[in-house]
Amino acid sequence: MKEIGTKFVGVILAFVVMVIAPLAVYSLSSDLTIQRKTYNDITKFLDVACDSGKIDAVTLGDFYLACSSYGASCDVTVTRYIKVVNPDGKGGTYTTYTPITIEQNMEGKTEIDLNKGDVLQARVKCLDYSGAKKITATIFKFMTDKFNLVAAERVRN
Amino acid sequence: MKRTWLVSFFAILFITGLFTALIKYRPRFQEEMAELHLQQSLNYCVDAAVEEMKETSDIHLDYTEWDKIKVDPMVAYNEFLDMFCFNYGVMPNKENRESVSTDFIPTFVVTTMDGYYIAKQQVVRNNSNNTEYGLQFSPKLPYSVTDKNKNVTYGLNLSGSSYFASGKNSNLYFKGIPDMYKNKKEEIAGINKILTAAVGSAINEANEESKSWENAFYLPGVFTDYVKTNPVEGPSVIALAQNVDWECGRKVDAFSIGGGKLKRADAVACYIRKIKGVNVSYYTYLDKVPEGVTILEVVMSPEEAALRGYACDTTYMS
Repeated sequence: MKEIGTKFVGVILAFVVMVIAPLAVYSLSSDLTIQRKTYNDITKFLDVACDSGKIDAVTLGDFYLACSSYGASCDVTVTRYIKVVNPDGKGGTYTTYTPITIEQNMEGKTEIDLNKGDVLQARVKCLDYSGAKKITATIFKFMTDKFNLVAAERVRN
Repeated sequence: MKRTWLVSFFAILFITGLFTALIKYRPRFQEEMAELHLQQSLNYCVDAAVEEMKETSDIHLDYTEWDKIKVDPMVAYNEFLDMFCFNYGVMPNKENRESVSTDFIPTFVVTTMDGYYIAKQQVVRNNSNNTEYGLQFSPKLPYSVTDKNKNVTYGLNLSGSSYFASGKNSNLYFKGIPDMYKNKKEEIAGINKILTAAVGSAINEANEESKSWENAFYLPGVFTDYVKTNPVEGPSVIALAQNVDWECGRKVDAFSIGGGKLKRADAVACYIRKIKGVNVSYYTYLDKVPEGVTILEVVMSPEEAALRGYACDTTYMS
């Protein structure tokens, strides 16, 4: 086999151009799309919960489903910070927040009421990449970031 | 095939181009996501600050004196800092709040009907080896405008129902709108101009040493289709965040404004009156109810009364 080296390099090049390159480009844009869509879902859930002052199991279940429907497997945590106003011994007050996760709060109930002034925080953490990104992350070792989105809103009602 | 090296050459060129694009654009995408997150977080923070300010502090709201509402800017500011920490997943303890207020917020404005409080970065502690900066609120500054022709300085009011005039020998408090403006809209536009100048100069001051600062700050005077934003019309909070690098390594900026609007609650009374022998349900303002009629209920707005099936009593409404 003449020029085995050149042919070998040629095959590698062809593989990179036709397989790796489209995967890398696709995973770059789809990762951003997944992040934006997940963030939209987070803000939608927070707006609904904070404007109505209640969270029920159906809304929460829809939120969990929406976050994991884009391809990346996510860990969703919703925390409620209950606002507590304490006297500080000098005639004034100071505020503290007591966190409680929504799962603990909703144990045994299908709906909970939120107090006005509580803060509701939702955090979505990506546990494992989506399909195309898995391959890209293995090959390009510098594209191994997992997204981590947080948002918090104050309850209006 | 001869010149196979040409094909390999283009393939390598393509791969190099791809690598460069990946390395260049990936941080840019992350930065865009961080910008979106910061903008939405700021909106949530400013909304929370306005609500806390309205509900918690005593705003001294009197039916006849709503041009003199008091707001507490520290309440709004503390709530803003707490919400900012929550939006980035950190606890609102002292270190985080100080870090936010020193590094990320060049200016923070709380407006009320007759003045505004503006917080700027100032020296807080001056040890021998380092100076520490922090946000400090100014005292309440009036919306002051000088009429050079008459040599009078006016203190404007967002309610459009009173103003303060300070001439050479006297300070007087008047009802209505100063002569400089034709109507309430123009006065509100004038007030927004004053706010734009104040906030703009605070931002420029904070960015004096930044070589790449070339943005301008502008608050619209009236609501138009072009700007699609309301002007400041009541107690509001204006916040700007710069150089936030908590999420991705690069620094992103955002701006947000949130406010409350005061509305007179026009309560109406609902009753039944006989028209040509037929009972008809009407509603009208509380002070215009005709005599000899028993009021069935009082609701908070004409829309609510209409929803409950009462008709507008035009003979008595005007």
